[in-house]
Amino acid sequence: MTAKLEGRGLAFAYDGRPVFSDVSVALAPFELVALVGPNGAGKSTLLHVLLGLLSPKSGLVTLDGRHISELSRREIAQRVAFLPQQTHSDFAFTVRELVAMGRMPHLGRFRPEGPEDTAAIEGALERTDTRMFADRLASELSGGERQRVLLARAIAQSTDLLLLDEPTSSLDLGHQLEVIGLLRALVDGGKAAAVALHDLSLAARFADRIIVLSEGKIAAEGRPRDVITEELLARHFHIRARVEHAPEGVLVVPIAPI
Amino acid sequence: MKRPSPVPVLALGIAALAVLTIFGVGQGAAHIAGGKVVAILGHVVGLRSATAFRPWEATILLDVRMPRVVTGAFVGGGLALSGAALQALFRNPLADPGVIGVASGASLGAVAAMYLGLAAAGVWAVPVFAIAGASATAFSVYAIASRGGRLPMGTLLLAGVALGSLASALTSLLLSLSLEEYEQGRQTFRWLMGGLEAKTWGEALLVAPLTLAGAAVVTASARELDALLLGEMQAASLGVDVPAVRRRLIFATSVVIGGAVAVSGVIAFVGLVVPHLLRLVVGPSHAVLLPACLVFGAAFVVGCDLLCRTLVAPEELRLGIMTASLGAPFFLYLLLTRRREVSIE
Repeated sequence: MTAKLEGRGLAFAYDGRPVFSDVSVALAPFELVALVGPNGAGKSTLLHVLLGLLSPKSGLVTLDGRHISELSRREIAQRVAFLPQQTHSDFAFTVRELVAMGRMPHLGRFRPEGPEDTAAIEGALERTDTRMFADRLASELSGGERQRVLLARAIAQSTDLLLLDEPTSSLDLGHQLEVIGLLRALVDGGKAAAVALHDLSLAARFADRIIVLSEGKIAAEGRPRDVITEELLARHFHIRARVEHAPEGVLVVPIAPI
Repeated sequence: MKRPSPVPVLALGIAALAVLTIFGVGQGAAHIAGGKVVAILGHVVGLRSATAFRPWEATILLDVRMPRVVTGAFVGGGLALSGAALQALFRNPLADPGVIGVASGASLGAVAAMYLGLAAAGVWAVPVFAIAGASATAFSVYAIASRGGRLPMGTLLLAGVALGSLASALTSLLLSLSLEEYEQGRQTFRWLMGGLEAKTWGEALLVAPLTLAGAAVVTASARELDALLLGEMQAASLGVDVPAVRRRLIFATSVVIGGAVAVSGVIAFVGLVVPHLLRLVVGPSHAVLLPACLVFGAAFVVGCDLLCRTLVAPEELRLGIMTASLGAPFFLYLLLTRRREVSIE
């Protein structure tokens, strides 16, 4: 079964202060969608609304054709994995314990881990290159290592859909490429993904489609090469930048704020 | 750091509880040797033993001292387990039944029941009122602190302190009103002092089912508590229905705390010290932590009560004095080493 997540005509406001309105997004298998936009444009909020964690002021979100508010948290978690922005916790779980939590939606409250769960956990540790610190405490890891562990948890959740909020924000260049490359491979394997990103070059190189969220609405949407232009960067990111079309993809060279 | 596997840790706790129980029922004005204790306990379950004992020894042991130890074990286990659950629920290492005011609320409920003369009406009146007081306080603290979707540490502690103080003040008011009637005042006052003396099987059998029922609900939510430690968003994205789990756990811990306070008064710091020490040993995973809290919390209170009875025999120390003088320094240590989290935002 291929899961499909769709939001139509979404509007959201915090305490009456509008964040965005009339936003429509559809996620389908084999497609990596990058969500970009200046700080405060509502990228995280949109992901939370798509996940059913926040209720939109208007519009509706459907998962496999069903209204998301009709689904239990567990039913949602069996189909959509979420990687939130960097968080820290004082409580010391080991890496394996954290990754194993990805199996929660499948296990419920009492069922112990079976071979299928162990395989999913081991596979996720393998793919994210985190097995070597599986027995270490997550609180002892660097920011980049923790981010990979959280990605491993999302993979262990074995969902068709992935929503990621700034998964590369605290990573060095090598690990940024690794994480986004891994995400690309997961999507090429049939998953659907939406990822909020700050790095426009990274978004342009790896995404199939870019959605620019700015000033409370979708300012542009389409293939990276069509969307990322010098005019768009000036208008919505308030920077003078050079956009180059290189063999590797679209490159953004920021020059100065406007 | 490699963690010890849970089975030997739990086995150690059970062994410690068993040894302390045997010492606990043996110690007192009339000393009963360990061998005899084992023989008497064996006799109860139909085992014959070569060690002879006198009938009065069996009576003292089984009807006077055993209920006290059993009550202490359930109170201690329940308070430690509730403390562990509340710490995860509030994502706050300093949450415990006393600190967030729940125990004061339970206290107020119990004293109100006595003031209204309901204690004579039935054995369940005081615990039902204690549970109601505990739940009302927990929900109020939670509602105040979680306004706007966040649960800031400073607000939580201040709300707990404020409501706890309010409950304590009302308790004092009821106490001063009830002092006009000598018998009622005496009963209330004795209860407020807290402790385990003169506990009967009636009290042991009252606190046991409440603790076990509450503990079963809390332990069934072990995985959800693990996820909640990561934060509300992450827990929800892992399939946890956060509001439902919070309501369920607040009610379940209130039942446990209300039952414990109803039989023994407020016993400070058990719910703080025991979970933290165990977390250092077995880690934060609740499937292990919660049963460990039940066992070691029981052993801790039975051990403290034993010290209370033996240190200044034939006089007795109050149990609350013992748990607080062991627990308060630990609490201060947490305040000092985790100052960053304790500071008001």
